[in-house]
Amino acid sequence: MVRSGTALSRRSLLLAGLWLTAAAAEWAALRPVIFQEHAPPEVVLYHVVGGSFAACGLLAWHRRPESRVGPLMVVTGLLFFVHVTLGRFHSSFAETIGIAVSNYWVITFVALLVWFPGGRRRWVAGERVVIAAFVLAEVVLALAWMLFAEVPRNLALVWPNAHVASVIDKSSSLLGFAASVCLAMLLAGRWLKATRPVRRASAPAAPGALTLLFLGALILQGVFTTAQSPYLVWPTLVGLVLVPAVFLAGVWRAWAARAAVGDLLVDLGSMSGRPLQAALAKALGDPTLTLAYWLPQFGSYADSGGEKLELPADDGNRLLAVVEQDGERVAAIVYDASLAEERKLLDAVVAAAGIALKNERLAAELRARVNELSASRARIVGAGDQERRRLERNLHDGAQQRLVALGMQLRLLGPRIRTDPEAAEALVATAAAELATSVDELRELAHGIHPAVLDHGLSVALQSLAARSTVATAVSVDLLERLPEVVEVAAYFVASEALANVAKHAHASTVQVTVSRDPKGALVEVADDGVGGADDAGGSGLRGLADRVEALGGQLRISSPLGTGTTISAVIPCGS
Amino acid sequence: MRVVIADDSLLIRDGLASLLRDAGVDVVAQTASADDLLLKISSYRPDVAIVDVRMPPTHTDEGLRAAEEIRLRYPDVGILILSQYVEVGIATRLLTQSAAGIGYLLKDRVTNLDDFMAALRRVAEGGSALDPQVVSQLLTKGRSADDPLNLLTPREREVIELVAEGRSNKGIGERLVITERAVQKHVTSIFMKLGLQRSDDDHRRILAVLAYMAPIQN
Repeated sequence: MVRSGTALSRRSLLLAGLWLTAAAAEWAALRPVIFQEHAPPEVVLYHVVGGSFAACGLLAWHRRPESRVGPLMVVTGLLFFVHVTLGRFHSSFAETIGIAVSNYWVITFVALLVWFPGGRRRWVAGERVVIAAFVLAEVVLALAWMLFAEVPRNLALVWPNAHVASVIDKSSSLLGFAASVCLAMLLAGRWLKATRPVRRASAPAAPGALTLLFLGALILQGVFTTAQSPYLVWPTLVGLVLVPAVFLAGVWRAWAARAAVGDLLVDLGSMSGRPLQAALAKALGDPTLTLAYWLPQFGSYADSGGEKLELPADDGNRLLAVVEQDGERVAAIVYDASLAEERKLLDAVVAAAGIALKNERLAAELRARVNELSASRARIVGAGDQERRRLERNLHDGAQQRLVALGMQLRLLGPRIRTDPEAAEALVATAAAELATSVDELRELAHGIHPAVLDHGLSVALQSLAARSTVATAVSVDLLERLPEVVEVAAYFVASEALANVAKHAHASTVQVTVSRDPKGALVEVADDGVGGADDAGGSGLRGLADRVEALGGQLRISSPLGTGTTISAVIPCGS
Repeated sequence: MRVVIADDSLLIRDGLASLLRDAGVDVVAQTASADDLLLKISSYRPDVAIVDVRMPPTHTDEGLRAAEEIRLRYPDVGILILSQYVEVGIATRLLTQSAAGIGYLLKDRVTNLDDFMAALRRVAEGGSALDPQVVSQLLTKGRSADDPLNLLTPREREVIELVAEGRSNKGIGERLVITERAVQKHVTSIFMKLGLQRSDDDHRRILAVLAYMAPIQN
């Protein structure tokens, strides 16, 4: 607070000093003109231009200290005064300086046109060339001209030569005119490509560019004749006096937009989703604004509907403001680069929207979870259907078929018991064997539906699983008490599916199955020493496992670097 | 009577063949696939083809499609479809064109040899055989209160079920232990109550009853 207070007062002092300087300069420039009788109005107007730039620039500076527009306008105004006021000193040195810098204001004016409305934009090559052309015309050629021009009190005169001076003067004028036209075209091109907020914000540059064209035409006219057409003089002067005011209005409008934040605050209470994004877009005047909610659970951004959102790359046209609440990332606002200049407005809007954003983010997260849940539920249902289909197939082709055949054999047997006891005996033997096979098959099927061995505890069940595995499997269960039944079943199926995967894909020689308690629940780990490279996108088995575990609020992780084996670990919450 | 058996399960095929041979049926050929069945039928021209519904390669409805093919190319060959389960939808698909020489039974019916043989004989003679389970599914499905089926007496319901199974008056009489004349009286009464066209032809009769119980929607 102390530091910012000091900075504030320092800036106030600077601004006050500049106000005094500008007022003194304006008075010095204007005094002889007003006291002169019958002063032509265009002369009066000419002496007001500097004051207009300085005053409007200081006001803009005061309103938007972070913008370079205000300072540039002030510098333009003061440079405009230099030539006029130095001429009043009747000193050769002062006048020489005055002549040398007489047109420097054109350079800052051009820079202002290119820069307005500001923002964190880079200068494109064309703009650099135009600025360089103006520097060449108004600095380098102006100095060169002074070396040859025989004008009173020119201390820089070295080789008096009217012809060379005239050639340099005309070159400078032609260059200045050409650069003016190029700049106008550049600005027009930029306008056509700009986004809506940029267009609106840069509108004040249009009368500025027009004024520059008239000025260029006036300079061009100077190449051919000493007379100045009033049709060029008047628009140029009026333009130069009014353009600062237009710029100031532009700056003021952006400042006034902050009032919209007040309206936003009032509306926020009843706002969510798209309306919130629309309200932010309105308050910031950027219809392309996008609101993205940060979902820590998913590690990604999503829109208000919970759909995943890819944020655009920071390409200089779109910028990103991350919104934080109590130190945690809540959302991001993607906005047009032209708003960067409105840092304070942006901060105000973001702060105002913070609370609503937090609630909204929770809602978006909820929707994303619902989406994920629906997808997972559909997969679980699908997997269930597939499983039932498999069971039906197995029953149909196996036990059912065998039992029908068994019935037929018993039918055949009946009449033979008396007539052909040997044949009957053989039939009984076959029938008994068929029956035994059917019983085996039914047991296998029942086991697939629910492993009855789980009744004897997870450890016993996993030992049996390991015994059936084709890969050497070690089991270690480190539990003080039995887990809830759903957790045991899930843990069993994680191990079962993982072992099936190992047998099918891993080319492993050993597998370690470990079950232990974890602060978050039960931890099941199946680690093999095979080839690795497994992922859940490939097979439905692992995806189905993940669904089963996630349905219980747990998490399944697969670590499978190529060549170093696969570890599947599931953490399954155990309720309270 | 000459039959061909098509079933992809060797157990069933052999068991069925042994049973039928014991009962005096001439099992002229056995096969495990639908394609081969058509070849066997063209060479042996049996009285009846006993066909499993699920056969390779897809194990879905190969048997039914083979049956349709047989019906088209050898209309005089009776077809008895055997299946592990029976469905009304499949019955209507089978019987849409004609019920003559068509049977549709659960595989387990084989173990009641007398009934099975009766059904097989009906199919061989151009009659019909519909599994009782299909018929009871038809009769127990949801019906409105003013359905004329509700007007039938318990005895008439028994009779209409047996009619729907494809049995003749004589067969129904034997089953219910009543005279053929009594059966005829019941059938007349049923057809009047339901407003059906009378027919002495057994398989037309079954069609009329089935069409009444399960109207085929087009």
